[in-house]
Amino acid sequence: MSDNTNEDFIDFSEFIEEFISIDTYMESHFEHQTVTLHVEKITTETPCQLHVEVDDKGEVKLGSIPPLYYVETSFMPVFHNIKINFELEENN
Amino acid sequence: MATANRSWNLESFLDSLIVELDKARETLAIKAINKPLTYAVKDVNLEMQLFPSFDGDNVKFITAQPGQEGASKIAIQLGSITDQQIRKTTKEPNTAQDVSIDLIDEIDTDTKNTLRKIGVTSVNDLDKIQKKNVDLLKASNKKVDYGKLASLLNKARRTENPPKVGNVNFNISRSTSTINVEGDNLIFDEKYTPVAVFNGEMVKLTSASKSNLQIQINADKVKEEDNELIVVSDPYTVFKMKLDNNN
Repeated sequence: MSDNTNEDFIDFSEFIEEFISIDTYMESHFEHQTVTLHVEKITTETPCQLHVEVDDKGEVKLGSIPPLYYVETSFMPVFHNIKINFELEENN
Repeated sequence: MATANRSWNLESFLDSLIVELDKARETLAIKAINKPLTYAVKDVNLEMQLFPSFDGDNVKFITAQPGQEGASKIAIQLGSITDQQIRKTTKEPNTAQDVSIDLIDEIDTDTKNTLRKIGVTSVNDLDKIQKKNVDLLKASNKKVDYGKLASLLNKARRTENPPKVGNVNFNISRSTSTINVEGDNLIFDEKYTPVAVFNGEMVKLTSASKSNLQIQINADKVKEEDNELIVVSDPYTVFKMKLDNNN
């Protein structure tokens, strides 16, 4: 994002990458056995704050974050809603 | 400088959103090199609190700010599709020979918007419409007349593809003398018959193509220096050459 924006906002692509940076396998050890699970589909829905910048050419730049502040105040930030479906893909 | 809280149009917003999704996908592609399984974004549904405004031509949006009430809600759903689906459902990009109507200054914004609404974004699109005998005047609610536009567009297309002369040779012989002109875009639209004038006299073009012109001349008219050859290849293009014939 450019220098004049709230530095708490991250690029929208990073927002998505953060969601996906999860370990594909979850392992659990029981005595001499290991149980492995993998998540096939993740559906996430969260309120988010958006920061929409427009430059002189009319091009838009997007910044976003999940809600930052949890204390209720008289002026609450505007929360938009984002729902993303992730699916597991096998890479050949 | 980019500033926040300015209105934006939906196209720019979606462009930006898609660029961001593509960036995320590229990161995932790198991750996929080392991991046999990775997660891919299947679809994204974004619901935003916005205030739309309409200036008579365009709808613009501004994101609601803290404390503002009564915002409209707009939901954008992006799904993932394959490259094959993209090819099937989208128009092919403009080729080098084609000209986007956006680049033609002589066409006013109103006409450009009217053309865009009926799916015409380039000169080739307009040609296709004409070939199907579509009445453009009727299709555009009497706003655009093909006759007026056609010459404007052809002129623009020709300006984008000017003639380039490479070599010019005199072939002087007792029987037939010719001038051979080689280059590119010498003839652009075969609909028109080109005309050539050599040292003030009309001469015959024995063959004319995009890259070559064969012009029959009278050997007696050839001077050693400052021969003038003028070629009119279409209503928008005249090119003039000063030729020396030093053997």
